[in-house]
Amino acid sequence: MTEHVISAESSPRKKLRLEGSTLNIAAGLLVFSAVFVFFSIKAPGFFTRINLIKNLLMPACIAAVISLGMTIVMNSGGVDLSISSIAGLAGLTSAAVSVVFDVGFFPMLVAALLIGALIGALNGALVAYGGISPFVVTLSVVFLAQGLQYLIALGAVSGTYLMLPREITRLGSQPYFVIGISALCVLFLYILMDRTVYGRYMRAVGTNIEAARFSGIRVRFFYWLSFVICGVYCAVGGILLTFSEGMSRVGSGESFLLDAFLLPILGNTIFGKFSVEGTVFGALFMYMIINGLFILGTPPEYIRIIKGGLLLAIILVSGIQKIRSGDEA
Amino acid sequence: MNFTKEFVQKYTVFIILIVLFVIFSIASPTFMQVDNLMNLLVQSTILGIVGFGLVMIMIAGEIDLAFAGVIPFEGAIFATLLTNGRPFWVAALSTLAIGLLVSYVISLLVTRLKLVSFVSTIAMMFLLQGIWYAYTGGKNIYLEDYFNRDIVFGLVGAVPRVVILFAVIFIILYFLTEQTPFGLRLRIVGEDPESARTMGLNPIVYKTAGFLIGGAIFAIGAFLSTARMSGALATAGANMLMPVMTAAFVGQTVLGMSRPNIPGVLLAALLLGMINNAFVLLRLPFWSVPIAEGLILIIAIYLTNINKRDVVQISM
Repeated sequence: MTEHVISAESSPRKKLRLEGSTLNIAAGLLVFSAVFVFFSIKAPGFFTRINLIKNLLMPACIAAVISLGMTIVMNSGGVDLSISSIAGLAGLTSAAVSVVFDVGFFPMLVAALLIGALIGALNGALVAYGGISPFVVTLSVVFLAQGLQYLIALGAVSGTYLMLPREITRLGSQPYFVIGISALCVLFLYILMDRTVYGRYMRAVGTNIEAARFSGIRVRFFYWLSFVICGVYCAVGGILLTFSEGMSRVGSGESFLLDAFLLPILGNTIFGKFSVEGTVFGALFMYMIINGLFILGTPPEYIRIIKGGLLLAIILVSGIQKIRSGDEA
Repeated sequence: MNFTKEFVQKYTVFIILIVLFVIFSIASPTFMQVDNLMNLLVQSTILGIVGFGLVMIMIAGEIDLAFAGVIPFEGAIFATLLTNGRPFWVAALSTLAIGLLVSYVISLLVTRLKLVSFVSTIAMMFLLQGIWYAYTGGKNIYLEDYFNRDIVFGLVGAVPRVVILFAVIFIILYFLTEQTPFGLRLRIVGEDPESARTMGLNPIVYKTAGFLIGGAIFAIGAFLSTARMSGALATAGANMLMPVMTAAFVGQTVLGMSRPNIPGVLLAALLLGMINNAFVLLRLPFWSVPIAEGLILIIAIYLTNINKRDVVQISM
């Protein structure tokens, strides 16, 4: 791969040759637009402003924000199975804070972000400083977070769900609020990962931890940091979910666990690395397919088949890519 | 100092188990009764058996999360065959055949197409859960009139049959993995496929064998969970995913072996079952169960890993 880049730079004519990843991105975008055009023609009401924003973009945004957390963790070589639990816990915390203390938007936000960061920091500390497998750590944290969800729900009111005040619900049903916050999150992470040295450090940790250590990067710290960022992003996703649902219940966000695996891997297959833009592309792509198929009359039970089949297809493609590049080498 | 650390690493989970056991038996008079202890074992049985299946695959160096989709699917097939009046052995054999078929497909994906087993089996899990919905129309299938629970949960002396089955499976798998050449080879293939290849072992054969053994054990798990709930329920697999993964992964660390192993799963399953059981008996609020499980697991894995300094990474 590196040799290829060097040769491309050395002679200007070879610069025109498409690299493998560029080809993939072009193919991905082509498939995306083809599917988009197909649904616009075939599915009545797909290409309307309200459908595209409310039914496609809003759920895609929430999934993207949660999956971005996972992207960062996968990028530095970890995995976090507790993301959906963190999202649920953070959403429930924000709701409980608003109900119990009768406070507005910002304290809710701060409480949720704090709890997300705390659980992320716990995950990261055990994984990066404790040297324990991320599977084991984050699985244990799933139990902890679930218990805390029940505790908060029972402590705040005696039930398993909390209704939010009307102004918050109104805010959450505003598509521009959800999309705006998600766009900010995406932008921030994109700049952090692609334009700052910290992003490079984290990628170095994920690519080759020994080389990163010898280059003087504090690998444990950056591995830890990726889990903290993941916790915060899950918390943001949890808040967006809670606000747009207008209530918070125990176990909300559970359905995003598959998305959080699917989207970064989809992005990785097309963009050649775990990247912010790849995950965002994955979110838009998947929710477009789900939305379009819904309009065409696919029963909702089949959504699991669609998602599972899509994930399997993606990794089949990436597996074939791997075999082919292995043959070339 | 080093000795203490090694001691802590090896026996933490035993000590936690014993301490919890003592606390629970003092705090609740009913905990120590034979009925309750048997109940505890029955509760840990399904978790433990499915965990064994997962660990067999983990020993071969792969992972199979598809069990959360396979188990409800197999349960549904088993239940529909019984309700359609087929004899018991036909239903049981078809269940086993389906399980082996799914596992074989997964092993082909993983060994021939070189897919990452973690992700491809998650995909399989969702596919199969979706197929379950399409197959049953989203309805649970109940078996009260067709299936006598005593076949599985009847008592032999004071011991339920299912506990004897659990013990038998444990002993067989323990000897298979720890005492036979096959177990050793399976482990070598799992830990270092390249060295295994140079030693003349074919990793594909052993990985496939691991998947098939796992698939057969999942089929037993599907049969047991269907029998336990007297029907094929939608939630049969999804509810099992996290506890089984926990038992398998925590079992990896508990004896200080730092590799997947059968006795570790047994201990982890018993630990989880005991916390569940005792907290209900003590009438503690239900939110305290997952919190306690989470905290005890975190403490246990922290103590058993206290010596380790390497960072663990996972390649996708």
